[in-house]
Amino acid sequence: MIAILAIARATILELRRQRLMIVPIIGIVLSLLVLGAVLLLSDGDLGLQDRDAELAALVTGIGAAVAGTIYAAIVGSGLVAREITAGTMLMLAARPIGRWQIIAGRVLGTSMFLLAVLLFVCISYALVAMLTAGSTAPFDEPFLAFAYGAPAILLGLTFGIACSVQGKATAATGTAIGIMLFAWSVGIYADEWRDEQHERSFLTEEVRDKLESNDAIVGPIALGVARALPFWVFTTGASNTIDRHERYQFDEEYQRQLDAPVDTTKPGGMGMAYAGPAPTYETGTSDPPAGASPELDPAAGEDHVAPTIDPATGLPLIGSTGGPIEAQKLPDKPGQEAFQCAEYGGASCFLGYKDAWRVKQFERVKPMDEGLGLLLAWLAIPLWMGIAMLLLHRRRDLT
Amino acid sequence: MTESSDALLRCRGLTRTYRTRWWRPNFTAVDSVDLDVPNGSAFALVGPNGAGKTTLMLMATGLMRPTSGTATIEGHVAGSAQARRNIGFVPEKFQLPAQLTGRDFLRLHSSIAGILGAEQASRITEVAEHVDLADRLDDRVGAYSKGMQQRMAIAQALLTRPRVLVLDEPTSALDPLQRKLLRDTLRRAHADGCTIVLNSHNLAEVEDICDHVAILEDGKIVASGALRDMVERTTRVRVRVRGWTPDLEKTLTERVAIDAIHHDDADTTFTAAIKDEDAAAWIAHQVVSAGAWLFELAPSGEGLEDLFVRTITGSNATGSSTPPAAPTTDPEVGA
Repeated sequence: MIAILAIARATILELRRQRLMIVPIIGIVLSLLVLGAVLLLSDGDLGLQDRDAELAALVTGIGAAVAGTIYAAIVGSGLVAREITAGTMLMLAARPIGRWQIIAGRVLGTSMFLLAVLLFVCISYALVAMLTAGSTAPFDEPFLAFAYGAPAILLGLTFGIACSVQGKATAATGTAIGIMLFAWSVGIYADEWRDEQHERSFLTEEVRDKLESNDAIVGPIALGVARALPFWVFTTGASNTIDRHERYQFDEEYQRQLDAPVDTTKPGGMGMAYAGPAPTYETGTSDPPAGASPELDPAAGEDHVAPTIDPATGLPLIGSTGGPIEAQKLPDKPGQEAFQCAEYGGASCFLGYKDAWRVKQFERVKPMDEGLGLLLAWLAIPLWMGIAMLLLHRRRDLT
Repeated sequence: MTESSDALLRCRGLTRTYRTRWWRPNFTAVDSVDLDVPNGSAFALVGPNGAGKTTLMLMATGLMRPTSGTATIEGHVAGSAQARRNIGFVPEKFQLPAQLTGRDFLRLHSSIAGILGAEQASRITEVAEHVDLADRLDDRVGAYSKGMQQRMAIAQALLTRPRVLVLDEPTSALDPLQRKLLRDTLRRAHADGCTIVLNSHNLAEVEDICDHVAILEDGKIVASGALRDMVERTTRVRVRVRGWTPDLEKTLTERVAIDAIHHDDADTTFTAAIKDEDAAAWIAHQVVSAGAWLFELAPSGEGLEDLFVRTITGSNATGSSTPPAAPTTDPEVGA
């Protein structure tokens, strides 16, 4: 144990002083610059919640999960291979310790170092979120970023080390990054495919038929590959974090509008099926079906259409068969996110089926998938570590 | 080879075969090597590039698994924890972790070896002084010169007071001053009772430090033993005569081995392997008796390098085969 701790300590000292350490610092600075640019270029189009979403995407998706994991893989893939190339592995192996202890010490030291960096990034993000975006929930994304980032980074690290045990440092790094990027793209594809499957589940048959899909074979394969390669945890983690964040904002906005006094002098009103009876969905595109209600005429000052009011609740329905909302085609920003509703008058109207989709989409919080992804990731960490130990143990020479 | 009862490091039938491309035959780097390194000796392993020295050294220390054969250190199988407690190793090519200070580096290795606390601190200071790096311990290793890094590597090897110190090409790429410092370090370690196994191309250095040597060629030991015996057995003299004749050559070769015969315009030079001074006197007598003039008969200054070259090349190189004409004038007159 003393040997493992000694190697871990030396590893932390080495990493702390390495130039590679500059990478996360540059990453953080660039993230803030990108964030600033997004806020500036948005020119007011983005609401506060959207800024939060941008931050969430930036930190959890790009920062902690993807960049962090790839960075960890780079660090990990260099650890053992570089040591073998440099000859220092021979010095360590000449000591009366097992080769597995060398791996364990390296993993322990690097893990502690990288998790400390991740924690630093998450705390920085929380501060940035509070200071720049005035976030209403500044602390949940950092937590989620850490919850997803930690296993993802450890996974990348142990995978990188496993890659490096049998090869040269450069080849090991290339292999590790290549497989990670492959896993990432497969994960994104699988996630999109799964979203689509979810959406299809509540579309009418007619609409489903209109949606072309060639994923009947590729989609399940991609999902299988993504699950087999637990790296997809960072893809799922990133998308789930953003989904969860948006749902939070959606709920918040919904509650705000529920609490707002209804301006009965204007048509419209809450257009969310969220609180009303279960909506039906008849359309699947933003274009009105033939023979539907007339389009809005912006020249006549029309900027919204009156929804059908549910007599039981007094709330407007969306997507009800033949109702006006599903047939609406707003002149600007058709099919935009629900958060633009405030731009359409005091008695806001959420936008047609898109929003209804979102309501349904938010039901797709994937606790099982999330749990499974995280579980697989945590299980894969000792697995890759064990593979690295076994490979190093079986390696005939260390030169 | 004869088995030495006090061998600290013993190899029997060590073989290492490397797989090459599937369409090529496997490459045997070390082929059934038997080797005994006497306890307390300074043992050199020499041989041409690619002879298998490093491979043999790594297998003997348990850092590389042999294809077949065994190696033991003080009776423990090389590679076992007990065997590794007895060795300090410095590889040929290494790059110390540049971000660590010398003290951190030595602390790492002493902790791994189980040297902790006050003993660790005193031992680090001791070995640092031993390699003349005590005042640079808190500098980063990356800022060390090549020679300092080499000495730091030796310091880590000496940390545990190993019974055997194994060094692979320790002085390559060092300037003369650093080489001398390193030799002094090794001599001190040897004087302290540490057995040294040295792989080096620098034969003068080997002669300077080592008392035993093994010559390796194509993965096999072709000569080994106490250095003094090996060199003395083949004491050589360099002879220059004028008036060389085939009869003289025939006479000389009846008693001594002659090689490197070289004829120039007037003189013939050759070297002869002799066993004692009487043989040198006999050569002089035969030359004069044959009517030739003896210009030079001197020890050839041969050492390990000549032994090495002759062993490896089986040197029988000769110069022109046509001897110069016998002198027709008295040299004193003709001069």
